[in-house]
Amino acid sequence: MVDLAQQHLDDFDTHWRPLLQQVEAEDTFWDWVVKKRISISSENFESYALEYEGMTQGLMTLETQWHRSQVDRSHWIVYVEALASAPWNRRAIQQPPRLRGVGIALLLFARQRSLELGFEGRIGLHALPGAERFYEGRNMPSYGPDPDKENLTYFEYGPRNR
Amino acid sequence: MAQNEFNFMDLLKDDAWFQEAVCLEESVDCDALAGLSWGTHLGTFMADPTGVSQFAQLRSVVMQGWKQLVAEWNLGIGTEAAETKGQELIMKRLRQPVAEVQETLTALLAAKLSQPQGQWRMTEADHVEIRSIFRQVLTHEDWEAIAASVRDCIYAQVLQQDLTTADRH
Repeated sequence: MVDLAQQHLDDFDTHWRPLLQQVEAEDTFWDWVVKKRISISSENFESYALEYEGMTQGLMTLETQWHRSQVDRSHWIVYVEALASAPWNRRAIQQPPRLRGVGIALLLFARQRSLELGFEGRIGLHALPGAERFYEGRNMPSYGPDPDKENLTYFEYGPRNR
Repeated sequence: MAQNEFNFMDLLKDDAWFQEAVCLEESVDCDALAGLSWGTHLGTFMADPTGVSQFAQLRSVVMQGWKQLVAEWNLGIGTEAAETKGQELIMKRLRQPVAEVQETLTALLAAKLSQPQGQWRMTEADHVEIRSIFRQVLTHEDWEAIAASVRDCIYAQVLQQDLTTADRH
């Protein structure tokens, strides 16, 4: 697991994107919003890549300063803004997937960052439709659809059991 | 073991733990995807998470406004069709809207970002603003397409009901 670098973005454009375009409709994007950016520090975002055999196998972005637990708002959490394995590692795209356990490794890394930041392993995320069972299988408690996030299901790990 | 000695990544070195985790992952037969649906835009997001997450938040506000408007119409079985068709057309029309619409939307986003995460709630004034945007950006043909999607949905439902009734006889 390494910090995100240009090579990983290049891997995404060259190797991931063409495969994703075959299975997903291109979403409309509002470039003008991104250009108008309202001033908020980007120091709160951390992006990582999981490399194996010289290829980017997984990507993840964490937000570390802005999200509180939805279970107990007195606690800060690491929020997983994005988590994805390469298309060839996804069962929905390739059977059998080339690498197994990429999602597990990314999720563990997010929890480790939470420990390191003093959040006791608390992390939260919104699962994409169809991915909910993965998080249920990881015993990550579900708190139902979140209207503030396009009704995606919110999951949150509490503190690590001591 | 003290919390500061524990490392989640060490679990990956435990073959038995990892095999069990992977078997469990296979048994649920789905992929670990989280975050808003970035899809082919994931690279763009990772290169600029601040800018792109603001896009996502604004999109979420607009879609919430659209769903609220559709809910007020009481369309019953046609609600989902209206929501989906409307969302598709709004996404398209807001790709490059006029400056006035951009300013209104930027102000809405700024108001949302000024609140602590999870605290922002859409006010009636916000909703009025968003509705005025829908009126500005959706064309007459768009409204017709939304109405047609609802009509088709209700039509299909009635026919299905008819077939179900016929099956019973």
